[in-house]
Amino acid sequence: MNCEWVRNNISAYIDHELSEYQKEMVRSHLLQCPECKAEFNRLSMAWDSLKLWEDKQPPLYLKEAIIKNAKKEKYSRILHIFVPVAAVLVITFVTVFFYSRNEQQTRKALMSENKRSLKIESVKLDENEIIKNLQLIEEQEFFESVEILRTIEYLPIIEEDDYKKTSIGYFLA
Amino acid sequence: MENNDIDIELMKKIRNEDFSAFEELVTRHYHSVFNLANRFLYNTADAEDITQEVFLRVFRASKSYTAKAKFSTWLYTITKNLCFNELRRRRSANIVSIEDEMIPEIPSTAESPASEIEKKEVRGRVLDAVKALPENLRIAVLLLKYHGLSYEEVAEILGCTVNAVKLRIHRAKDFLAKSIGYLSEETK
Repeated sequence: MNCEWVRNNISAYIDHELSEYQKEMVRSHLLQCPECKAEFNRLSMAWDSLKLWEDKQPPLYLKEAIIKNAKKEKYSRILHIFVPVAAVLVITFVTVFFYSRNEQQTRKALMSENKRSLKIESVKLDENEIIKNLQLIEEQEFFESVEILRTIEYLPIIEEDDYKKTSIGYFLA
Repeated sequence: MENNDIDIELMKKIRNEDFSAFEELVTRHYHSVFNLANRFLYNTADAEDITQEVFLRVFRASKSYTAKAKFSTWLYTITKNLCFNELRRRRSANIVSIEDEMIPEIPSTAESPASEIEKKEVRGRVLDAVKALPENLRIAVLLLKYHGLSYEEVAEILGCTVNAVKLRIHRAKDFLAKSIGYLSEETK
């Protein structure tokens, strides 16, 4: 067996990371080769001495602190969802509230304005004035109809021959 | 039920807002997370902070957690990443940690004073040797030796091949043997 191969695999042999076949190869080589056996002893002793560094008991408060942190995280997670939703609801409510209040105020203002104007008109207009207005309207209608008649008068007179010359006249003839 | 199955089951419960499952998960693992961080950073206070941060991340990730690998592999990967971040932070801030491992311990009465002194001396040399290991070798040694992981699991945590882990461990053992003072028969 090759010493180089064994030395490259001694560490894995110590850690039980070789296959059964490889383990057997190393084992049989170590029985025959004192140099490789010495290397095996050196590495395994160093590895074993790490046992002297025992585990340390974590402080009692550590577990409590971990749980406390996670609880804080849980609540902040809830807040992360709740706060934006609440904010949107509040903004919507405030907007709707002020909008409806403005709408009501505007409606009230318009209604009172209308009432006032109606009162003013009822005070100002009397019967004579209405009659006068109606007369004015009639006069205006009269003048408008006169104007229309005038426009008709100024239309060009089409002679019979000219009439026949037009496409409609030719067709009718 | 295997340990990993229990952890996965607990993670499912945490996802469904079962806080007692989180407490159980912490009880099962905070000891090993703390010890990994403590051995890697040589500082109890930093190890406590790292442990808290690791479990906070586990809690945050519970909603998106999918059991692709072993739970412990995932947990140690988070711990390893946070430990390396801490080392980077220390380096950039030029912080020298106070090594509380150097504080002498009360000797036990079971052994003779001579053997106790010898043991203490060797222990001191072991701690110095591990501390002197390069970080990428140190983390591999800690995971393999103190957390009972396989080469494959260590490779997964460190993001390298199994052969790379094999090589690292071999180099680390050689380095430790030299540092502690175990000489080969040839050099004696």
